[in-house]
Amino acid sequence: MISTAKNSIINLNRKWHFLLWLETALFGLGPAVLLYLVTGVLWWSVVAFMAISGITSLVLRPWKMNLGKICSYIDAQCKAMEYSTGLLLVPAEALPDLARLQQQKIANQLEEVRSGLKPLGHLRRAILITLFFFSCGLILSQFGLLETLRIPRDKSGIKDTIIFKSADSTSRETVPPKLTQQLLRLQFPAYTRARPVSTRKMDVKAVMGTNLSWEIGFNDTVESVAMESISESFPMRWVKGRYIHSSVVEASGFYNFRFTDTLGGSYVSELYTLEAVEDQGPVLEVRGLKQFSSFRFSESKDLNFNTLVTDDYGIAAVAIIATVSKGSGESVKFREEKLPFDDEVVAGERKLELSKRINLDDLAMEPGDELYFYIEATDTKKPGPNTTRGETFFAVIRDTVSNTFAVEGTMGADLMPDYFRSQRQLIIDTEKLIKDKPVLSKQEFNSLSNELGYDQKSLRIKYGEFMGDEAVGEMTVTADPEEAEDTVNDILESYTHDHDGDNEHNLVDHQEEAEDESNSNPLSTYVHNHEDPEASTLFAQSLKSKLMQAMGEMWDAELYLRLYEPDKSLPYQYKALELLQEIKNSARIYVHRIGFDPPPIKEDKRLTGEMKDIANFRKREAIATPEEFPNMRDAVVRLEQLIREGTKPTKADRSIFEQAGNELARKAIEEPGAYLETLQHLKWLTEEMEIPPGRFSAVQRGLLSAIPKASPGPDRDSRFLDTADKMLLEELEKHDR
Amino acid sequence: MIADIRFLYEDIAWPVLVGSVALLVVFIWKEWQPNKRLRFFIKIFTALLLVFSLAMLALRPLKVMAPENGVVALLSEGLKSNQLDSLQKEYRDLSVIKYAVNKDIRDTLHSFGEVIILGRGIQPFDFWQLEGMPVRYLGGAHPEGLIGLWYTTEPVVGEELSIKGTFNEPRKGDRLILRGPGGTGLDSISLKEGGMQPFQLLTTSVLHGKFLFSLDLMDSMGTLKNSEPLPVRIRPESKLKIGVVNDFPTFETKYLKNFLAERGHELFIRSKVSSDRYKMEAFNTDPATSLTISEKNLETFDLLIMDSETYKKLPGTWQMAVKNAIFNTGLGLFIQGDTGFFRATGSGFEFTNDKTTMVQPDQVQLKIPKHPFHFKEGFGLQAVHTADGKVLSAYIRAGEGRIGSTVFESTFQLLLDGHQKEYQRLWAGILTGISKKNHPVAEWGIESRVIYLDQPFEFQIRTTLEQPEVIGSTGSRIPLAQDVDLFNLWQGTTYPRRKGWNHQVLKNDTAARFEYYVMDTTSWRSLAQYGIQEVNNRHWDRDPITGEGKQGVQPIPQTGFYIVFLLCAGYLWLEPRNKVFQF
Repeated sequence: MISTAKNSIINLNRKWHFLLWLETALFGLGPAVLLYLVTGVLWWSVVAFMAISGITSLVLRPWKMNLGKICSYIDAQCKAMEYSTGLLLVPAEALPDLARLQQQKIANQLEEVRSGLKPLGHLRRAILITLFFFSCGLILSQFGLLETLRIPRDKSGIKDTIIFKSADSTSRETVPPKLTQQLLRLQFPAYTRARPVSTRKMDVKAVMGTNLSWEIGFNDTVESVAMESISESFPMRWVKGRYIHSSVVEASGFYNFRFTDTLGGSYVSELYTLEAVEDQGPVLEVRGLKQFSSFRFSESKDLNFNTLVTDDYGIAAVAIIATVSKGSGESVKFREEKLPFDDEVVAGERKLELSKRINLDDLAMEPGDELYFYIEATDTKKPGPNTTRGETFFAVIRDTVSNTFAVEGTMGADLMPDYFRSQRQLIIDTEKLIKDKPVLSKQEFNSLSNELGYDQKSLRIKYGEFMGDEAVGEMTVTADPEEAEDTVNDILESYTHDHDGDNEHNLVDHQEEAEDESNSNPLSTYVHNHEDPEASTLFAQSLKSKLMQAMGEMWDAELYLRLYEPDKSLPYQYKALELLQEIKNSARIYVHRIGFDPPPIKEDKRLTGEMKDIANFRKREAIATPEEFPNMRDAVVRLEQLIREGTKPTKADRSIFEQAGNELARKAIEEPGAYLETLQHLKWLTEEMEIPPGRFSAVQRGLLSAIPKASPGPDRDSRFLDTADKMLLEELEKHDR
Repeated sequence: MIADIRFLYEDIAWPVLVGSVALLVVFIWKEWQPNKRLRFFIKIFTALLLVFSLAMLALRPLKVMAPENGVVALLSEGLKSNQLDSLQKEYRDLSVIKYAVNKDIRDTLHSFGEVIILGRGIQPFDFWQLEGMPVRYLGGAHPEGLIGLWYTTEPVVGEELSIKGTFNEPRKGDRLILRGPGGTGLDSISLKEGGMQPFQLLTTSVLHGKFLFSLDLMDSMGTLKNSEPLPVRIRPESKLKIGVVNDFPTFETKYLKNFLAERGHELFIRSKVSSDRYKMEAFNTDPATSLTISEKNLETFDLLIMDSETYKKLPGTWQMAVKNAIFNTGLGLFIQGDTGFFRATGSGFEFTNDKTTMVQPDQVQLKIPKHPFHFKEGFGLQAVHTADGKVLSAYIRAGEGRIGSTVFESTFQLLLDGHQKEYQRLWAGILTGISKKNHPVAEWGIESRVIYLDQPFEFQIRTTLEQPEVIGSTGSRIPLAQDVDLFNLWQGTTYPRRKGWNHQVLKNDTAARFEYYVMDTTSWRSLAQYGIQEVNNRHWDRDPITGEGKQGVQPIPQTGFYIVFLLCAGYLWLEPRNKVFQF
């Protein structure tokens, strides 16, 4: 029991010790963190921490706490201990009997009061003070207050300071003006919603359109300050004791500063990179969807997918562009729809996770209908937002009823001309006319029959075009003078049922320019010469005869239609349709012709061997590839001489180096990291300044790495021809014969 | 005894003798007295002594030393210590002399009976010091480091620069690195420990000019142990004037045309498109010139590319013109062969059918399509490309020119497959070999690639000029010696005084310029030492001169003659004036 009590006292002592030390540390920690957040210098805060903690520890003196003090504290706290807690620390053997009894008693007492014993201290106060300092520091650093106190965090800050070197060795004796201020403000384009940044770092990497403004100040008066780009120089304006210059990032490049002091001495800075970053278009990632989905009519036709859209500055809009194709052959119809995502698209977000459920029934799709859709995302870039179009997905409801013979299956494109499709329509219309005959007046009936006859004729003439008939061309026959006037723009307009145009209102407006279809013959790309039936390249002979036959049927059909006898016309129309179907089903007509197109053969000249009009072909060209980077090559050779001879570059050399620098800069814009140092060194070489040893070699090495490798080529080598060699050759030849 | 005396100025011995006798005669005549007393004879004797000592002062007598029979060991660099120990055991009285470059030790050496050279040997320009002596060359250890070096000193831009060499006794982890101008690492090789290892380093020359490459030796820790300079003069590619005559347009010609024209070569192409109708193209040319086949016009061409069909069908006069241009002006003719050409005989080439249509030529990493033939080796056939000993491209000399062909077929496939470099290398090899050569006025030749400062640099020049004059870097004339047998060959020696690039030109034709790089003796030490060893080996590898060594001579001190002369002159002067001297 006694030992338990003794342990309790020791534990309390230990705990007390710990809490005192913790308090000491906390008192130091708060101000140290504040100092670090404000100044950014780690070692300052470490010193502050040690100093404050040291002072606090001197006040609190945690090391003074011992078991004796603990006993006194317990005695003071609990009257029940009868001021005898100290007895517990003494071994029982060393105590008189009475004291032992008291010890036993006190040990029991202590067990009872133990839970009520808590170390005294101000830990809470210490924590509060620390938190106060923490929050102060965070506020100050977050809002950039006390920015002037801020000292560069690391050495890179010192490295970032613009170092000017004298560009000529003559003005060395005077003390050059010193740089007192350097600042670069980056004002990003509004759409990026990025806060303006001020930095001392002169190497810039910014999105195109960013406004850059430089400010530099000197402790002394200087004559002029300029910012130099590779081949241009922009003077900096003097405003309120600073030199400023602004420009907008348009392309990558390099720049440096140059100032002239009042004595005419010129000083140049190092070369800095200006890297223009292009705003990237949004990136789309569609998850959980196969490229091609097919559904049975009976199952639930849902497409569920998630789309992750990311952009570097913000997404403006995301939508699904869906096209539903209905029917096939002549009755195919398209409907385009812009579907929104189920989740709301928050404009300006950089990352969006959107989900969508498309139910094919909601789109009123039937078996055989197909849905094509893609996702289109636009970012916030101004002017001219970037648009990304995702890949196209397909969904189809399987049609198990129809099973048509399809030639298209073997071909990349459906080359079926539309004209083949209209005979059926004519039949339908004729049948309708026959059916409606009782209700129509004779005049109406005749007029409709005549119209159908006209349609039949136009169809026939179009087939004639395929055949290369001489009768091709404008419609020369007009049905009625009055009607003819109306058909100036499109002669067929009032007679034909425009099946292809009636769907236009269903389509989403496309920005692409509509092709001028008035002149386009759908076969023009595949057929070359229609003048001569012999040269018609589309149809084989048997097909030609079939088509001729069909056209004959069409003639007859037209005849009866014109005679207002549509019922007599029908059999011919059916015959014509049948023939056209046969032609359609023959795969041979769809052979896709590609490759070499021979020019038309003039039969009268063919195989005659007549060449009098054919001249020799002459061509004269200079296609020698000029040597790349000639000045860089010259510079390498000249540097080699300077290295070997140990001489200083002359004025002419500096001009070579300058031109070499311009050449290298063009290459360096593509890969700034690789050549910047060489470019910088070349820049120094063009100035009249001391050149450190090894600089020539470094520049030479850099230039050589930028010059493309040479490739082997034929050469005319030198060989001395001795009289003895000649004699030997002559002798050899003599014996060779 | 008298035979042991020689005179330094033996050539004036007669005049001195005559003068002395004359002087003596005059003296006797002057002193002549009818009644000759003792005094007269004393005076005559004194005068004789005087004249003698005067003559000796003029002639400088030398004493011939009897040759010693002792042996001297001449210690040079690379000495094997055990050799000297064993020698000292054998010859108790062995004298030892340390060899130092250019130090005159001739007299000392000549006082010995035999010279034994230990170590790698002495500089060739010090051989004269041992002339006439019996010499034994025992040889030393091979030097450690680079002991062999072969490389193209004047490659053309784009040509592969190959540096071959031998390294002796590399340490573990040693690496050789080839560095270009500015210290760019170009190629490297790890060496195995010990032994003599051949190595090869490769790079491609990028631009023309004089450059100093270097061969660096690094140890396993990456520390630079040694760096040797490698002077290279890269030549610009010279532009050729090429004519192409085809019986019909081919893809091979089309791609070859693009390759050549893009490189800036002057190119004329005439392809037959129909009977008597041609497609004529000219690239990078002067509008005034054209491709007409006449000897005069062909003179200006460097290379003519023709398909075998055209070649066969050439009219007689044209064929003659082409032949003459090849024989007399050095025109190169490349024949694009077809199966008929490979089967036929009489074209100058003979082919063997080998039924293989793909081949990987030596030093090419790719398989290239070919006709199922290869060249039959014969006298004068110069191979350009080979594969497993079979010749694939070759040329023969015809007068000053060359006629070549290849069995490669559809090489443009290489370009289509993206192997542009291989295509270029293939054609560069074939066409460079065949095309017309420049014939410079002079050709320079040097013994060693390593030329040291202040050491004799021996060079040769072959020229057709009758009286060539060579002017060195300093502007002074370097004397030349004509070869006894070959009147076109001249030799000269100069002592370069400036480190770095030096040059010498023919005064008669400044286009014949020779550039060389001079280094100090710290460069290429191991290579130079190996060279010395080789030269010594060759030089002393002959029957040793037996018998006595050459006799040495020692000058007799002149002081004695002076004293005798003074005493005699003094006596003769004082004798008439002082009674003491009168007898």
